[in-house]
Amino acid sequence: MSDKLLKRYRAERIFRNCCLISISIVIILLGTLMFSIVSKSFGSFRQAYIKLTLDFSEFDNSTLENTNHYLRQKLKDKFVDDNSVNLESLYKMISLDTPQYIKKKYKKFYGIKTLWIPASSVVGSYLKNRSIIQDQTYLHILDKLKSNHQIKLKFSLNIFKTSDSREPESAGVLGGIIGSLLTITICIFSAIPIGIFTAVFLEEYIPKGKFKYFLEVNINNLASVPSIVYGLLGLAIFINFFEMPRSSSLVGGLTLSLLILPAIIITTRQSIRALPFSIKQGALALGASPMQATMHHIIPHAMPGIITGAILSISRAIGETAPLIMLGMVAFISDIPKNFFDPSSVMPVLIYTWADSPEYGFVEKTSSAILVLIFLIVGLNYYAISFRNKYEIRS
Amino acid sequence: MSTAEFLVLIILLAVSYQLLKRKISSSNRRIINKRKTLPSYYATSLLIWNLLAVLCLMVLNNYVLDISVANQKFIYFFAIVIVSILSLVFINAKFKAREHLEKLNFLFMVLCTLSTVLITIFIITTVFVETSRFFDAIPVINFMLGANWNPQNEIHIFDKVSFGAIPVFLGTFLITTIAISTSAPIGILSAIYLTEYSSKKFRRRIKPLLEVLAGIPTVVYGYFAANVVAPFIRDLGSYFALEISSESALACGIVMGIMITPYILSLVDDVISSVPQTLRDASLAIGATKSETIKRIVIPAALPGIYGALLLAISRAIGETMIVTMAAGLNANFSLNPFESVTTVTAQIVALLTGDQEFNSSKTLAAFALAFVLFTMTFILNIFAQILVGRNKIKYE
Repeated sequence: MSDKLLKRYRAERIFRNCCLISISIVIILLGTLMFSIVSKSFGSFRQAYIKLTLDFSEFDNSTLENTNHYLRQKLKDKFVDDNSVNLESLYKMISLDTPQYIKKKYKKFYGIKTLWIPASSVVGSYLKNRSIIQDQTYLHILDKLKSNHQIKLKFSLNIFKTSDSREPESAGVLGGIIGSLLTITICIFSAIPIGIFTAVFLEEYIPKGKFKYFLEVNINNLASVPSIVYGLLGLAIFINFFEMPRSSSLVGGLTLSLLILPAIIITTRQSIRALPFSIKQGALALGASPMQATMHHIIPHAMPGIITGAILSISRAIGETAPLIMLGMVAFISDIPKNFFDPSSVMPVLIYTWADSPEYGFVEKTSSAILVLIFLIVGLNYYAISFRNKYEIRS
Repeated sequence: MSTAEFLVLIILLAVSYQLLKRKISSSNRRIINKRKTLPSYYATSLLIWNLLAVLCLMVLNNYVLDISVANQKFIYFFAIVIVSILSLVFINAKFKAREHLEKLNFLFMVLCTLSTVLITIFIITTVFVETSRFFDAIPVINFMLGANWNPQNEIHIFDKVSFGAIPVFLGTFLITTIAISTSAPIGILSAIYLTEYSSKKFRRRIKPLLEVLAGIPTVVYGYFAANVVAPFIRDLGSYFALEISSESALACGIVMGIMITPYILSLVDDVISSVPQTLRDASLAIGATKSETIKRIVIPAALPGIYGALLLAISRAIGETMIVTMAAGLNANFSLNPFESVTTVTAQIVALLTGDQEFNSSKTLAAFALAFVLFTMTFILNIFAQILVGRNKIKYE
């Protein structure tokens, strides 16, 4: 073989390897992303507990104040020999929500009982070797407790049972999940019907011409307007003009439906265009009116494509954060929303607010909230894509 | 409206639907057959009118009238009962229900289509009106050419508030440049591998994976940038004795690049796939190697489309909010140094609009002015991208 040919073959190999390396980089980077999140998130399923012996006849556990006072007394008794300890930091070992926990769990209980009660995230991060405690005496107490097996980590799914909180140990994603579901419900009922009808109208009723071209360009443009601009639009129209309740899932859902409307229209049009023309002709030949042919034949046949597009758009709406921050959903909301008008938080905004908090407890919670969100979105995406692939093969 | 009232509403609607359907079904078959209309069409028209009545009343109730709370729930029931009774009395089989329903349907479609135009008009008017109010207070020249961005009066209480947006634009430019220069080569080369080299099986496996990964929300990338990449780059810099800010533009740009790589990949993949196979076959037949075919035939043929894809990616990087909000700084530094902390248009909009403030303060208006610039930039990029991609498609169809 001539030198020139060898050179060309080498160039071929180099180019091919460049391509291979770049796709490996893509996969490795995305894998790192997933790994860094998953590896951190496991911690939040282990919560710190502290062992205390409580005498329920000594205090009235129906009021939170009494319980709190008693628990503090108990902690003080336990470490009374050591006066150098800062009492405030000692009290911080017990979660602020512990009195509530005791009230709920031991409502009509009298007598002495040794309990594992939820400890604060300070203890939690100490047990996970992530502690930033400077106070040596305090560390000494924790060391002693640990060697006496009086504090430990236990598996807990509390993160799915509670709503947002200022304390990392009791913060959970339930409020965010329900807020997201409410927002998505609004999206489904507003964006999907409007999107489908617009797409049908564009495909079936508007003749080719300048008007149709204008509408197409308009929709394609809307599809790539930055999401934050939609947030400003929602702020100006829904909150300032229509005076809808701020940070409610109603406003969030309506704004997100504006955001995903163009995407739904585009995918619906594609799936309608992919249908053979004979379907409509057949319906018309049998005496159906044009509207009947559209509603009874074209839309049902295009449904797999429409559903795929709709699921992909909805999963985008679930993960959208920026416009919702504009609409006041970033406010601290510890209640679980009950209807569309209640102030509510959503999963991505919850992640955004938690990611700002410096405590290690919140770092873990953020990772597991991300994991929940990714499971939701990747699950939906995967379902939609496999649905489409199945349909594609069949046709 | 409580659940019980809602249920009553639904029951009323269902009863009126069934009553009208029964009435039409029991009337003369000959007339129905002549009209080519099912009884359910009559009932559906009634249902739609009932819903419209309720909807109108809701809007009136909230924004125009002031009906006392006690009467509010009954007015919906009352409306439904009246509309239903009127139609039950006056509508018979002679009514052209199918044509009526189709007209309603057509009207609904027209309204839906117009709503998309309306969204654009709303975006332009709201952003434009607020921006013009902002420019009434602050001259355009100061905004577009000022080198000092300091809108948060509360924090820098001794400084004067100033709205010179050049540092903000520079920050956006810097981060976008880093993002595109990392993602474009990787994205395009990967797309070439997927379309030209990979086996069909590999492609079938990897494509859904990339599509799924493209759906990961941006807030996740933001968290990744702020908590993993930025500290890593800072530590790497300190290893080489470089002073790198923990909110460096580099970290932001790289993560944004990771985010838009799957996007570029899928767009370029589409463009390259649309290049006809005959061009490749001709090139291979006269003895070119595969890489020569790709470099000299396929890429030049797909070039307008690839440019279009890059423009779309740029517009997406400019409009990206969460990564920069979480990982970039808020101080507007007048610099193009990737190791320093810079701010961007979107991050500033978020910073200006979160928290409690009245709608008319100059801070809020400044956010709208920034949004106006953002919208105009992305609008122009999108138009160009669409023209390029469209031209590429027409060429080979």
